[in-house]
Amino acid sequence: MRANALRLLAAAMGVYLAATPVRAHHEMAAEFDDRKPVTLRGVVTKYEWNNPHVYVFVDARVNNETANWALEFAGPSDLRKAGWTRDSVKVGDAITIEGSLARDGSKTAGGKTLTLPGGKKLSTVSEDVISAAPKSAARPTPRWPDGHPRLGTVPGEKGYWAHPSAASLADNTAGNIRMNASGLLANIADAGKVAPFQPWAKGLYEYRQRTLLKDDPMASCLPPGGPRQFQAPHGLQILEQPDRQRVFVLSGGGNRNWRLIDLDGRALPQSEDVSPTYFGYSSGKWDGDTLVVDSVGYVERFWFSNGGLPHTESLKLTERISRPDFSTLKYEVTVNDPATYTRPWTSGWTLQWTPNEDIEEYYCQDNPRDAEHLLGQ
Amino acid sequence: MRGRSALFLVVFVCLPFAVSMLAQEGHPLTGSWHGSWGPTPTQRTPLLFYMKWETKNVTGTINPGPNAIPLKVATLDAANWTVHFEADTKDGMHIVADGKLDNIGSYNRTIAGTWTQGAMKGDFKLTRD
Repeated sequence: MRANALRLLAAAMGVYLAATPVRAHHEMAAEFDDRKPVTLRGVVTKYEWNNPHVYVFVDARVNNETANWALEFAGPSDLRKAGWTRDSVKVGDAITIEGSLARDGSKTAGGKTLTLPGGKKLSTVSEDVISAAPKSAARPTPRWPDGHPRLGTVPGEKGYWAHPSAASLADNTAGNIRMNASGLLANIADAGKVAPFQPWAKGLYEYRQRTLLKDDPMASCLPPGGPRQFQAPHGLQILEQPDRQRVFVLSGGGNRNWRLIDLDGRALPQSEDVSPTYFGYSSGKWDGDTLVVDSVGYVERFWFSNGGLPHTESLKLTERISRPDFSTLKYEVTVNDPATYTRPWTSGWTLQWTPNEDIEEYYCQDNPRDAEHLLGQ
Repeated sequence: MRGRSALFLVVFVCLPFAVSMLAQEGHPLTGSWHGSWGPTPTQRTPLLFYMKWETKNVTGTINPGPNAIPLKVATLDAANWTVHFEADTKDGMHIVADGKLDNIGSYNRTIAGTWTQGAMKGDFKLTRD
């Protein structure tokens, strides 16, 4: 019975992995059911070009009932990559939208395509498009006058880090574990391989996976602390201040979140001396061309990785950040949380440089339509 | 003026509600819990639990204060989200409670089940604060 249930769940997740076209602020699979496709033909009554989700409202007739439907798409920055503009849709347009029905039975759907009156078809951006790394000419690692690698922009240029090569933390010894860009496992049976969980933590991780990450604190607009800042779909910027001996890590795709790493050799605070925070307290030093950062003091109210890996206030992180060439940021993190995991474990991935662009503003409270996610569930 | 009143309403009335609706954090038993136990729906004794996950085991206290009862046993079976508590009152009555954790993803998750205190039997329900 249990094995059948697991197989069904694995199959459902497989369908989701194959079919889910967007990566958005909240986990789309938790809200919309890809097994319930819908095609709506109607007249646009409202078009909201806002973060975290663009909405198109149409009066459409379904099952002999005319109603006003809300069609949810990815955020503006993602849709721009797929050719949308804030003027793509106009009130009064007769359009056709394909999407997936909401799980709660409301007159809401997750939009996948939108066909305009002239026949032009707009699609929501696919994960492949979002994660595709830009092609950059090979350039050497940029350096500061003292020889250390520059981890951020070079003078006169723009750019930021994005396109992480891994979706979620997973123990380096775990082998290949399939998961989508939100860290949702293709096969729930792989849960135990992801990290050396204590039993309660494995149970909680599996619960979060089975519920399609619906409780993700990021859906309540809470910050992506820890390694998750390096997995965020809208990238990050590293701002170095050598004269002040500190580094800021600025989140794209968040509420202007930033993390401070001190490089002046200060000791990390004792846990009883500080209030835990979402980005913790970090102290770093250079080991050759690698910035080694130790961090403590994390609050428990966030998920420190995509996919819902648990942690406690005992969490200590050691991160190793390097830039082996101009376009590659190498990130490795060792997780030490004895209250959650049976041993320290390490994971890592690379990010790619996105040239000639800056991280974008993305206030997730911008659209009141998403208030239910601000309030949690 | 009306706008300011609305802003006040949002900030001071809705925001605490929003905070209370945050999702689950850390170990599922960690935190303060309130509720009651009793043999019938009308005969209830208030309960306040404080529990903390200490790397390998859960420690805690029932009704912290002058009449505090330390938890002797507090276990969680994450395979089916059942909990088991044991404690002894100051007058020597043994408490055994078995319950099930529900609404796990919520900050205000609950535990409900059976409560035995000496010769008395009843049910209990706790909600995380």
